[in-house]
Amino acid sequence: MMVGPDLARIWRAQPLPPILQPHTALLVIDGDQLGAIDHIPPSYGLDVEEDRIAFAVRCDAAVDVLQKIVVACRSAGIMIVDSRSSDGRQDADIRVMGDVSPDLRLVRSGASFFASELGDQILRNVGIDTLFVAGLHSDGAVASTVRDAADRGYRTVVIADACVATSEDLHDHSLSMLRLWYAHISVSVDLLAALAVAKPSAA
Amino acid sequence: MRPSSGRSSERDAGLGEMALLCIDMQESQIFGLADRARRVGLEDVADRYAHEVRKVIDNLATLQARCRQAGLPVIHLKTMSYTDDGRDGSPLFRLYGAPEEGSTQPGSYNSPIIAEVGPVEGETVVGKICSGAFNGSELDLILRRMGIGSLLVCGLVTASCVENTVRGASDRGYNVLVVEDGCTDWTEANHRHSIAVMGKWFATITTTSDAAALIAEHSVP
Repeated sequence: MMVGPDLARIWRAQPLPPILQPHTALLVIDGDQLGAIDHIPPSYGLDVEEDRIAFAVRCDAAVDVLQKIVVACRSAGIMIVDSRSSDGRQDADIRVMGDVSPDLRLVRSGASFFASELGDQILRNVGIDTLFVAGLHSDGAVASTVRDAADRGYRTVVIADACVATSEDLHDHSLSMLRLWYAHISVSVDLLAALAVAKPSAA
Repeated sequence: MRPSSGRSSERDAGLGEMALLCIDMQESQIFGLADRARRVGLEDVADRYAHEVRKVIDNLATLQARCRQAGLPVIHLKTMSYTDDGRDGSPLFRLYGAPEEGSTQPGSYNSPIIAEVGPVEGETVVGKICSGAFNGSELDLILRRMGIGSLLVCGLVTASCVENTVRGASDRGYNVLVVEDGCTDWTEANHRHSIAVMGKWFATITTTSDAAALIAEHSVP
């Protein structure tokens, strides 16, 4: 395996791009499903009970991280986008977004946020050029979104500890591939620190 | 997210014709990547890559011959740029620097497709300005006009241009088959991981021999 326990340290070594609030958006991918881990679809392939429990624990941890990120983005004036693949569940929303209502909520039809042109058009109309991406799954919809974003010219920051895959191995390797070609990989503690500094200049 | 819906061949019957997608079989990808690995002292990586690419070329040549025989379209993708200095490319591609005509360096946008698996007269060549062919090209429009619903995907490199194209194809409703021994990557781990992820969410993973049989089944009378 090319990645290991030092992953967080390696990722933290990568500097964040400058955060310009009017041009940055937080894309939460399938936060509704991340916050509803009591129902794990068979398609996730988590047939072993221990794997299901471990997955649920990682989802819970990511939800805790996302709640902080969402609050920090809102107070820094960063656009919050809730991208989901179905209408989702209300209680799951409350878990991930808390009291913060997203600036934009879009139901998408493919794995990638950019599978339809609508999302891309909206982001460009708003003037977004930098994306923070988090959610479910690191190797699935999150990776598709990040790969498309890079192809379409966005600067992308993946918040590593706010993304989850069905196994840690898939998560680690997927993020290492994104880092190799397509994205900055960051962790919430660094992003929150950067957002705290960005705060005073928020409109 | 749920896995790609188009995975059962029964369900996909009638979705459209099958085509072979050959991704970035250019000198820049074939020789340039190995040269670059050698320059930084990664002889093992370079040797393995050159060895694997040789197999990919042979497998691709087989599949192309079968498709031509069966009357199925062979479509070639290539990384390219519309401007002289490459400023129209995606950020990753701009990092590579300005394209050089005929160069074998990685990221040289106008590097030619190698003759062994190159287009024959009448075949479609589609240029793209980024990794995924469904972003930086007219591929989707071209496939729909041709009535293509099923894609056999091969080429270089697995975890980058191949995977991005597969993800894009799946999102746009194509039935996607990835030929495992028809693509490779810098390292075996990258290749294997990418194949596993594509197989999990976006595509059916197949081999050259199984794909050859499938081509015969889909042959156009």
